[in-house]
Amino acid sequence: MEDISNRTLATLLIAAIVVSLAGTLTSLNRLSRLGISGRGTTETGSTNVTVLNALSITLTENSVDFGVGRVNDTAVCANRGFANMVSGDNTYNDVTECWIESSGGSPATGFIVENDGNINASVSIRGPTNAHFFESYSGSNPYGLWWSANSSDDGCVGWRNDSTYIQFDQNDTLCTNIVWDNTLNDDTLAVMVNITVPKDLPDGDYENTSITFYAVQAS
Amino acid sequence: MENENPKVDIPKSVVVILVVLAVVVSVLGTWTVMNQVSTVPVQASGAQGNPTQTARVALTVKNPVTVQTTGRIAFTYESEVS
Repeated sequence: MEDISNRTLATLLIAAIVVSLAGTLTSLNRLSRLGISGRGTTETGSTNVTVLNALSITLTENSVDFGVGRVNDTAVCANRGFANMVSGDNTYNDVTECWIESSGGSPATGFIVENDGNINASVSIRGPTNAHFFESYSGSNPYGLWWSANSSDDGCVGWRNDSTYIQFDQNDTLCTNIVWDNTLNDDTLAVMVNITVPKDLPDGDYENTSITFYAVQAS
Repeated sequence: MENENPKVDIPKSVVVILVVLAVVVSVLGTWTVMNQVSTVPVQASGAQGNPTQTARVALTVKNPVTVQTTGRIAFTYESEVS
């Protein structure tokens, strides 16, 4: 076999190098195109929620407790036959001065309704009948339970029922527009409670825990 | 000049065989690599997911028609003990 020339040998070597480099580059190119196809992506997002209307009321003073006592049965009170008390916004008034409180206790104050929502509210009240509250009192002396809106609270900017005392068993409007907030941050309204206790009422506890305040959005 | 020392030098035919063998090995190696790449269970092109995804968040606020809260009125009647 005749030996090939060095030129032929060099040509074959160059061809080998070219083929090898080309194969390597092709392989690398194919591998690089795999990219991140196996990697999960992590995305973040944000959500803004705006609640436009929230109707809510609360009673910052939710208990009117006149304590333990009796009707004074002497002097002018003996002929009257009843005691009448009124509790309001941090006030208490023994109107007839005929109620004898037999145990200490602080004088009762009225309910205080606060509009803690973010829209104005119209609020009404409903409670027990007089007969139900006084447990079917059968005597002849006057008795009763009434309410009225405080006439001076700034929280009520609508019409308020403050001209007369109203029985609780009538679902009646307290205020047509209690503001949810204003520059003075005054969004409350006091409810005055008027009670007349007959002197011959049987001993016992008289209580009602269902004095209900209803609120709807003010128009 | 190349025939000055034929006993020491490797014959060119051997070199050619080696070179050809190198080429064959190179080609086979390249083919093997490419074949292996094609068997990877990932699509080599277009394998990326859509980088833009959309989602939905919904919130319904049902404004109550009426809300209510309750209070309490009480007293205890205790007649005078004679």
